[in-house]
Amino acid sequence: MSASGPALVRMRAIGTTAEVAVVDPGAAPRAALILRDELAAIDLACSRFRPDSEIAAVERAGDAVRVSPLLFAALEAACRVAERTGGAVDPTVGSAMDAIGYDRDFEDVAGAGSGPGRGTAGAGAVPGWRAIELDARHRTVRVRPGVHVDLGATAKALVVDRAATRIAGALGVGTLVSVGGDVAVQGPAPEGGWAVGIAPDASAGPGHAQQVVAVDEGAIASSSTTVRAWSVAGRPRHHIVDPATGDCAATCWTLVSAFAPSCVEANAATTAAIVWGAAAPGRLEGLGVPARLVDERGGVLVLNGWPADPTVRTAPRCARSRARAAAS
Amino acid sequence: MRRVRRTSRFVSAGAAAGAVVIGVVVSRQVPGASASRSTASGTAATSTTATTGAGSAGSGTTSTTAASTTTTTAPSRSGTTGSAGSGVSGSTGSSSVRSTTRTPVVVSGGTGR
Repeated sequence: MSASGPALVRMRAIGTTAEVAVVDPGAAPRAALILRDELAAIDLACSRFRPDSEIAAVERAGDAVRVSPLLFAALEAACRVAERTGGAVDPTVGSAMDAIGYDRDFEDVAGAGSGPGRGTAGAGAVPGWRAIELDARHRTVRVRPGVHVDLGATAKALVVDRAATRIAGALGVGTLVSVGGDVAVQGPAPEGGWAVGIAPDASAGPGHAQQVVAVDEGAIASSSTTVRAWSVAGRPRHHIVDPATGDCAATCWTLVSAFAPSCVEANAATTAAIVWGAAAPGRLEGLGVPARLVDERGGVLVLNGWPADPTVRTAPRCARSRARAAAS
Repeated sequence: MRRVRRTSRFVSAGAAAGAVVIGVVVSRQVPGASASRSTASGTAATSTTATTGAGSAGSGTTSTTAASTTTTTAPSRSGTTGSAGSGVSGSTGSSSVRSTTRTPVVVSGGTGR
């Protein structure tokens, strides 16, 4: 017996790599078109790098503005994640991201550097998600003047969920969508499930996976402090901001992966875990989110049913940050 | 001992708009070699079988013997079941994530290029 495997289509979008795999290879071209359409829509709605984006117009307005269903959904998801992570993942980190030097497409940040003295310090505590006022009844949004919204984390995950659902529904095929390493699957999975590699850099290719897991449904997201990282005046910088300081989150875990019913939920857990640092294992255990955490020395900690990897050693539980947390 | 043969084939396709690569993964199982899964509902327990081989990604034809599958089912936490886009949830319901020796279709990791 034999079975034809899924067909995979890869494309560049929103500053990273997007992929769609479908169980029926004949459906791949249409699946790619749908994914491309979803990516274009989320970019136009949510990009903080595009002056013509809808969120940029909302910020300029300074008053309540009726917005598209997509932007409203993205803002609603971002605020809900902020609330449920206790503010660890907050959409009002836009100015903080600018302050650490991530003020343009990442390829430009990494390629040109941010210049001596720029991006070496955080901006202080961010305004907080309550600075975004959402009116679901009228689908209006008001962003408090001076607040700069960054939907980078949740919008990417949201588009993964949306695209996977839309492709599986429209084409009636088992579907996997991955954008920048955030993955969701929908519809009937291939025999044995969808095999997903886990690696610090999603663009490194399957051959660099530290572990391979299989899922039949749900989503896997990962956050890393070793990619989307750069240096300013010799100081290492990365793209995950701690909203409490407005600076790069302390590097405790270099890679966190999580499995959840949706990519938005999985991404919220992994991003929050980076920010939570030494407290992450306890909080993730409490949430019941299956997760895998890798510390700076390569130690691995798995939680809540994430499969153990017998080839790696147990994490020393982020000793440095634990000591810092205990002292505070 | 189960025996599984896996063949991976990745081919470049003529790109439409934007660089597009289409990869086709072909898996073939030896008759009677269906992988078994152990599920530990409601606990974080795992069941593991020994691994003696693993395929490599996109490397042409590879063979593995004794494919290993570990299945875990996340503990269900009543009252916290989430839906798409609902933030962090403590439950994945009956969904499971398990280890496998199969060739990954994609990689989950930090947002690379």
